[in-house]
Amino acid sequence: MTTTHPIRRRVLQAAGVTSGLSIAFVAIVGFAHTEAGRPLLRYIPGMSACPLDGPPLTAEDRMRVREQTLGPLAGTTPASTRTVLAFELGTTRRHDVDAWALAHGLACAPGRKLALRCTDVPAAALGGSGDLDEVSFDFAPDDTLVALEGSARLADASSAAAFVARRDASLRTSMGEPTTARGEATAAAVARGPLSQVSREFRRSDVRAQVVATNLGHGRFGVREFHQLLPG
Amino acid sequence: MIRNTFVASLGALALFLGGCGDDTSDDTGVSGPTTGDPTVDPTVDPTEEPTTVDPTEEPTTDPDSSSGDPVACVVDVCATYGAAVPAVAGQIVDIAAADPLFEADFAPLVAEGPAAVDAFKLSLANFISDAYGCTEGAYTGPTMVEAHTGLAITQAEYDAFISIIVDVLTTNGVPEDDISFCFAPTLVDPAFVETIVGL
Repeated sequence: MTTTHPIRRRVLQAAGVTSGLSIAFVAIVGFAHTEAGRPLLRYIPGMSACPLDGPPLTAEDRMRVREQTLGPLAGTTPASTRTVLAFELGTTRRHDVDAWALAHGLACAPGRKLALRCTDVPAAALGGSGDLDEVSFDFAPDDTLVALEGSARLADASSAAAFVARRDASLRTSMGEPTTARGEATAAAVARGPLSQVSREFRRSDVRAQVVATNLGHGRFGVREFHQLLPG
Repeated sequence: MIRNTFVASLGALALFLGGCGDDTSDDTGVSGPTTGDPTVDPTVDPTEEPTTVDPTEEPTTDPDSSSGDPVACVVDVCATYGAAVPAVAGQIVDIAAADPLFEADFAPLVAEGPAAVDAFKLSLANFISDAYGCTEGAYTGPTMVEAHTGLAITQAEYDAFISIIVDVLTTNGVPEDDISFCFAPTLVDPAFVETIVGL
């Protein structure tokens, strides 16, 4: 029977403990840098956690916050229709969107925060908008559609301006005059310089919509469109 | 220098960084706009031309514009817009909190109540003010990369937030040239974007 020298044993024990603690430290730090682990930062002294990393709310609480946040943005008269692109706010359900995605062969998955995000969505699937790189959906607890957001990066100002012009005309038909209109929907206005922007916003008592084209610099132009069902 | 720090701070603001600091700090004496008030009075008068332009200052040339043409920021950004930072920070938070793409990010904060939201706005303003050179040590939060690692922010989200910033700047009467020549270069700089997107 062999015996380990006491000093050597203590060195080995210390090395083992040190290694274990190091591995645990690396694991905790690594986990804290993941989305799931970031809330842990709240418990580290002197390391203020981002307030936006708070625990997720229940669906009901989110709807309550929605009312609080969106309420002040409501217009005075209702929109004549809640139909947007291929959907209807407040009526279309999650399974309808799933069926739509399947029918058009779209790649969709849960978004970072929103319920569903589909990529490379062709204009043909949207019934009126242009091709969009991404379309995201959000649903109420009863599974009805409450928000729709789409965006794309384009290579020329003309296409970006045309997107706004086309969507502006469509929204004026369904919602009337925009509440806010900034810039002319022309290539010259969008191409003027980095962060030049053309936008339209429509606020009604039940729906809010916005369409915008932004010069992102380096010859890239972003277009974006969103529609929200307002509470009440 | 001022231009770069200010636009860098706006970029951080755009992606929530500033608000990730000590959200209880109130030792700067700066008060942000209140929750639910998206129509805060801007410090910048939209009808008034900036009055602090230094005519002796050489324009900054940035060859990395979208068109490749030289661009020039001819205003002292801090002197011209520094006082508006708390209002601008507050408005960006208000607009982002109501935006469908960011609403879920802000919902837990809004659920904590107006005090939490105002503290967040104040922290954002402190970050900008520090980066801007108007204050020192007001912001105590993490670095940009630290703040965004693990969030998996997408390019589309970055672009959307940039559009919100432009909207707020425009609403507050910032001339288009100042947006393009003073604020844009860093915000659209791919190297800057890489510190935020896809981490």
